[in-house]
Amino acid sequence: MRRTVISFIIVITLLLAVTVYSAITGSLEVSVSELIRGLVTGDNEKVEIIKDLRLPRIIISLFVGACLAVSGVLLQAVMRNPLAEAGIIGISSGANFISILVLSFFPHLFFWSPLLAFLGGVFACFIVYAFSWKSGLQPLRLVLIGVAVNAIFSGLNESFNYRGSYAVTSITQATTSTLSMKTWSDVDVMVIYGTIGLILSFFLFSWCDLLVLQDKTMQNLGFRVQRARIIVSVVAVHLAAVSTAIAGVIAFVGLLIPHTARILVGTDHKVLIPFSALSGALLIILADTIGRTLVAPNEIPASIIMAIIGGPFLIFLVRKSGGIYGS
Amino acid sequence: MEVNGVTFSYDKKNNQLKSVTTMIAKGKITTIIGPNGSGKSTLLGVLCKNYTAGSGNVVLDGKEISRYKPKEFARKLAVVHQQNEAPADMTVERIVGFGRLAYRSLFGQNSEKDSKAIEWALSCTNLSEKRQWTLSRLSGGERQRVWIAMSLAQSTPLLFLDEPTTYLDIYYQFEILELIKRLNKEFGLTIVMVLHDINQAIRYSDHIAVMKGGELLMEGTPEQVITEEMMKEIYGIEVVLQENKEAGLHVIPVGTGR
Repeated sequence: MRRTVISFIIVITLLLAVTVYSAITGSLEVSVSELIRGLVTGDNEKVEIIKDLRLPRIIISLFVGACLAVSGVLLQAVMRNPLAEAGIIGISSGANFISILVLSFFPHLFFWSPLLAFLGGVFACFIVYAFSWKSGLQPLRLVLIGVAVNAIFSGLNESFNYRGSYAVTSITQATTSTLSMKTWSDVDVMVIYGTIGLILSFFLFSWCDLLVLQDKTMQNLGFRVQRARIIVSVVAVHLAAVSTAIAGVIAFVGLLIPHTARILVGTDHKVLIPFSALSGALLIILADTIGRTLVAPNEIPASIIMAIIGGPFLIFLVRKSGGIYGS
Repeated sequence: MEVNGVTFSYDKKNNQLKSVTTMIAKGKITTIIGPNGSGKSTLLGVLCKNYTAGSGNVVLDGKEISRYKPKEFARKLAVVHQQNEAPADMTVERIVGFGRLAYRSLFGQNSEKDSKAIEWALSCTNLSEKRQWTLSRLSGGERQRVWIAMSLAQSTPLLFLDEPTTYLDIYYQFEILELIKRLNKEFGLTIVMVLHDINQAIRYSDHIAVMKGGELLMEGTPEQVITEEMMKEIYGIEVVLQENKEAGLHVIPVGTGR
């Protein structure tokens, strides 16, 4: 219990600190007081530029991190698999593929891209379930099928980069993850859809807790397992899809954060889901801030930073805790 | 509970159950025995709605079980499975609390009735002191009692157990069986269980049903059912039957007769 409270306090403190640091650091620098005064009064030119260019990026980073982390928690609960994550089992790349495919032919549908991504994610998730279901979900088969589905969609996405000369630049931007050049209209989409998904997921905690039991046990308790499984999956796909639509594919958050969070605060989803949301937000804002300040004025995408710091960190945690959820 | 001509098949080719008909008596302990692959766990699965019968039906309190809603059925019948999974950091109290699901809506809080049922389940299984313990700290026997407690919290008149003593040391085996007997005698629960050990079945059952090859071949009181001929025919082993004051009726296997 004490450990949970301390973990929450540390994560929230770090989250606030990194967010403020991120806002005042970069090619334009201001002090914290200048920033606050500027935001309130609106007469500081530097702050106005930060507001237009940097704030959208910060807000999107926070939401993308929270959504991807919670999506991972939900997928791991519903698939009863410690390796289930939108980036690994093909949901993100499926989301990406369908939106690129549709937008290539119907560019005017651009404002529907979150919906297209959602449909692509549902499609990928459906394929994974359909092929791995054989009188129950078997963890290893599910991950293998997911990896295969991911390979197919990633390959299809890559093929867009090579199909011709004229579209290369625009498509490349859509397939690789990026948090730069975000506008306030991106923020609107991310915040609205992200908040809906996060709120829904908080309400699903009691189902997620039950989903760790065996199917037959849940049935005998009077629980409608399949209905819960579908609803939780849909929310998880929604969270991953909206993130992908706005920020591209960022793998690993949904794996790293839930595992860390379980070690720190336990497997009770009432605590795990909010904690993962906060930690996910912290991780992505941190990765993005490092990525754009380390080799300024050049940028390293957050997804790359994520992979570089995330990999060793996960190895460290798994070695240290000695136990992996689900085994 | 009436079972009328129930068949079941996993793969639609071979029938794991071939028209099983029986009647489960209220307030009694019924034990299903039979060799591996005889269909006893499958029958239990059909009776508790984990599997749907291919043909035939099962009637509980005048209503076919397929027509019960999930929660309604979970208030009538609880099941303890042979193997159970849960994260190692879950507390006893939380798992036992899952047993109250059938009485709650999605966001419903613990009512006083829920707390009472949980209290009762914990005290029956002797876990009151360890309610805050996590699963990882419990022994195999205690873990099995946690799952029994979860089923008891469902406050059902029927309790089904699938091989409740498998994987346990002999002390814990008898501890569980004594608990089951007490639940039957003191609280009038109707018990249906699958057991491997014939002597345990004799000692703790009012009624024994014998299965082989998906068929229910004979049933009756232990004395009626457990005979040297039956053991030879069903299990293919030679046994000596003995009866004495302390141990009651018991079988002693003496070989395969070859």
